[in-house]
Amino acid sequence: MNRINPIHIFILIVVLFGFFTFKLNQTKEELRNIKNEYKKTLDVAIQIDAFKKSYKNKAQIKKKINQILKSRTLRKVNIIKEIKNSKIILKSKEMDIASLNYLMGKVLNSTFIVSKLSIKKINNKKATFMMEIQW
Amino acid sequence: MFSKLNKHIETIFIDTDSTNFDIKDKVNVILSPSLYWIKKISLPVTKLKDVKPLLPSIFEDILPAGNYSYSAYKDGNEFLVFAYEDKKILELIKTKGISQKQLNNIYFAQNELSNITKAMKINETQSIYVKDGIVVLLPCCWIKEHGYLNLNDINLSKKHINLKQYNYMIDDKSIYTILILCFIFTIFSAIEYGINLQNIDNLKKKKDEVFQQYSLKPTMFQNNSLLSNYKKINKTQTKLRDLISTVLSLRLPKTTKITLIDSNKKKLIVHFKSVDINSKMQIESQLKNKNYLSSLKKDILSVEFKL
Repeated sequence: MNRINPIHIFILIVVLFGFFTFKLNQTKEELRNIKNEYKKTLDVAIQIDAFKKSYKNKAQIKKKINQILKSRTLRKVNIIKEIKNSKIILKSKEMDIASLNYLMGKVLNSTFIVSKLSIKKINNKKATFMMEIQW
Repeated sequence: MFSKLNKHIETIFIDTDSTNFDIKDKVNVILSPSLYWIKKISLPVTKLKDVKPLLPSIFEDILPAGNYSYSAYKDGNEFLVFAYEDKKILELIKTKGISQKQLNNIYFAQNELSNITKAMKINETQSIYVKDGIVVLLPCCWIKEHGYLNLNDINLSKKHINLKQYNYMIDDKSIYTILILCFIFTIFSAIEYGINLQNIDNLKKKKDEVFQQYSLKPTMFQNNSLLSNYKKINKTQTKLRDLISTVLSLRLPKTTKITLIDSNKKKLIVHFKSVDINSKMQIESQLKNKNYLSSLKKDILSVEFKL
């Protein structure tokens, strides 16, 4: 009667089964959490990257501004461009309405951060203009 | 180790009428014929394994209600088949002062004592006798005995049985089926557990790679804060563009002109010149859905939008 009782083996295997089921559920929960975390991290990373590319790409912003200012419409307009550490300031003491419309259209349709804008009418054809673009 | 092998194990005969034993070592137990049912039968099968499935039906008609185990042994061309109640035998052994731990092997009297040729006393009140090849138990006064049977002189056979304490609750087949299923599930659980650990590790590595690839800040708190800041900027810039577009597309009275557009990070101010009460209402009616503050001083209408 020294045989191991099958009930004891049964209990042992059931305990082992319970243990692994418990550990498995724990890892399933952990896996679910880390999957969500990973998805969230990737989502945040992609969004930040997209915003950085749109708003914080200094070289790209400078290049685009230069292209706009060198366009046929604005080439002859007296627009002063000041480049500072984290921004570009565009100024004109006297700008005709057509050029102003063109410039505004181009700037506002691009993904620039316009931190300041001031347009004051001088007369029916002219206005003063100041715009600050940040990165 | 050798001393253990050489150690002699005492053999006892157990019957319901046996006196209590005072033994502390291991014992071999020979079960009295009163503790089992026996049949000697001829069957149209030759192999023992073919007999075993038939055992319950062989005893079906004669056994009282109970939970029985069965054994069978070949005896020439015939079979000796046994039925016994594990629980009852174990309980009896216990009441006779033998614990389950002391039990070495358990034998049927039929298999161990069938060679005796004369009636022998087995205890004070009972004798063993073999009739027609079947070992029977008799009260001692029924037959002339030829002394006491010394059980320790008997060479025990290998035909011992294992008594199952719980066989009345669940049969062996069910236990083994459940056991195998549990074992399989345990193996699967263990494998899945390992795979999950591997996947967790891989995802952690991939997450680190995302941090490097996108040059993220060290903590998600900082990154979420940065993203929230960008979203705020995006919202403000979209609103600024939307408001400028709305202002420039207003239907103004002929005399009314826009003289100032001024904005910073928080607000947008627009001045309209040559505005009277009627034109003010006309302008404001077109700005219904926008959140703004307006003031009219002389003929200049100042409209302030919050960004």
